[in-house]
Amino acid sequence: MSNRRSPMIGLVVLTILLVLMIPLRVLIDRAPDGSLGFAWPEASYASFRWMALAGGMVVGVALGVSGGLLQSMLRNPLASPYILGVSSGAGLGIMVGLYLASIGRVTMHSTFETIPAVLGALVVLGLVYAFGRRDRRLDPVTVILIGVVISTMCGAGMMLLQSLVPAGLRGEFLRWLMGRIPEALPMSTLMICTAITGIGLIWSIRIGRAMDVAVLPDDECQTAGVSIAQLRTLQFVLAGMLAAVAVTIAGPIGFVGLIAPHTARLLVGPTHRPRIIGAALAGAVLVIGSDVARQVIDLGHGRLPIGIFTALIGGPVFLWLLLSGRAE
Amino acid sequence: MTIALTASNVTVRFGSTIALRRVSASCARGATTVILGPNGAGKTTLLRCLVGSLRPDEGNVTLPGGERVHALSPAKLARHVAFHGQSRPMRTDLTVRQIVELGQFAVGRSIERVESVLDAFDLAGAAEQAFRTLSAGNQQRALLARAVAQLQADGVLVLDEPFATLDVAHVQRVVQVIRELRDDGQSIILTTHRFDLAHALADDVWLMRDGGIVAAGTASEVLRPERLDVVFGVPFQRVTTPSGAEWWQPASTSAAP
Repeated sequence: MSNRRSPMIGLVVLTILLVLMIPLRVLIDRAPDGSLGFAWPEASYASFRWMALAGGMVVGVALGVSGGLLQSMLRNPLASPYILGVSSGAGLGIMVGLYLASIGRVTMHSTFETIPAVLGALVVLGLVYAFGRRDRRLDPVTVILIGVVISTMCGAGMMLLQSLVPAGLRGEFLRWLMGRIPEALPMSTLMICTAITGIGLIWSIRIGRAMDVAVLPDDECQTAGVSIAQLRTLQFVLAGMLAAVAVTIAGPIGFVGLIAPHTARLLVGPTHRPRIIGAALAGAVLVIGSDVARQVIDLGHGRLPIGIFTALIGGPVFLWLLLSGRAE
Repeated sequence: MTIALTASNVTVRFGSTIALRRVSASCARGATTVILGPNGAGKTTLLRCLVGSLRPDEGNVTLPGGERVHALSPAKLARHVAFHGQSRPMRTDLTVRQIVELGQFAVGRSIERVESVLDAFDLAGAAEQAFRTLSAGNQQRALLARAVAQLQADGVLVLDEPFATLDVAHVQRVVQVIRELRDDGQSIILTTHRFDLAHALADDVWLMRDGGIVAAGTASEVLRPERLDVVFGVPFQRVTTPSGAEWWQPASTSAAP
């Protein structure tokens, strides 16, 4: 069985899909009376759509690349950006913020959710990094175990604080927990997140060949010329940073970071440079496509959380790719 | 004798277990050194120290210029040492050719070298096949080919159990590759449990037990039955081939069922 395929074909397919999604997200209009329209938006709310599009693009790229880095680093095809505990750390950060605000009787503006979310994510990343090392390097199995343990502890902390904060604030938290692509986002936040994602993407492409070598066992990888300790640290920092970006903008959106790298592998092939680019494109297609579906589908209770669509659209597409690849 | 690698008083501890005890030995350039010993003798640990992937708790492994291998950057070390271990790669869709090309990550890509190595290991027909679809023995050949593709002039090829999963024909093929490399002036260090292959390949033999080298020298000097009985804990018997070659191997392996 020949396994050599041109990565370019898969990249072109993903790029075309992304290009198709962009006008759809801008042009589809759901009016307040519930009717569906398809027109260039009026100037007064065009910026909201561009903001949602930009936010979705950044979140999709960040989750796709982060998942690709972690599946390589942890040598685990089930790894996703949230395996490091980033989302639960961010969630606990927000709950702590809400709890402190409720004690101080201060109203927490949604913008200020970002700061405790980022702090929570970074603290958890720091803990996983500190405890996930063996023999002076990050150990994949230890990182996974520490990530799961810390995520569970953060989950328990969130439940505890949920029972302590007033009922009204719980709704705020649940809204965050379901994930969303915001149509209004401070420009500074978007710019910082875009810059971090761009740096993360370029750096991940740069280490693509080293990630290819890292399929070898650690000793062979080291003697083939790749410092496995440095590579894993870099992968961890980049993946954590990108996951934190995604959580900052959108909260925890599941599934994208898991299946975007696999979709890229199936369409683009196994070498990491094209695969990372493919994962970025697949992530953006899935998030923006799900956001489009979210505008179109109305079950009478307003727009549904985006996480439902990333799983319901991404899951079957991924299964189809996987099973058709196996048949081939 | 020109030296390719020198281990000086190398000690390695894993917790309270001492895996290597003040091991000192030199590997000759342009020679094949075979390390023999029972399970747990410290062979793999010694190889990991020789290739710089495991830093000794005490002692050093040095190149002819006196550079300590574990102090070199991986990119520099890759030009001096190529290693094939016993672990298998993670699940990957890379082709056999792409796996072999990984050996050239730090030493510069040479398509001709990759093609000649694929031919040498009888892998040219499987070059575009996904590595993960190969049998264990064929995967081992691809990984051996990767290490050989990395090997530079004056480099040292270090192989941990290179014949472990190979069939008879491919054992002969790999023996042939090792001989050709040695004849070209390359240095090879390998471990094996095959006494016949040790006799066939070794210029030098290091016999290990309990984390130390108990004897070193030529095969005929080191592999004496009275010593082997003690080291391996089983009786050894002489084997003579029709061509006149003879060696000692465990009595049980040649006994009729």
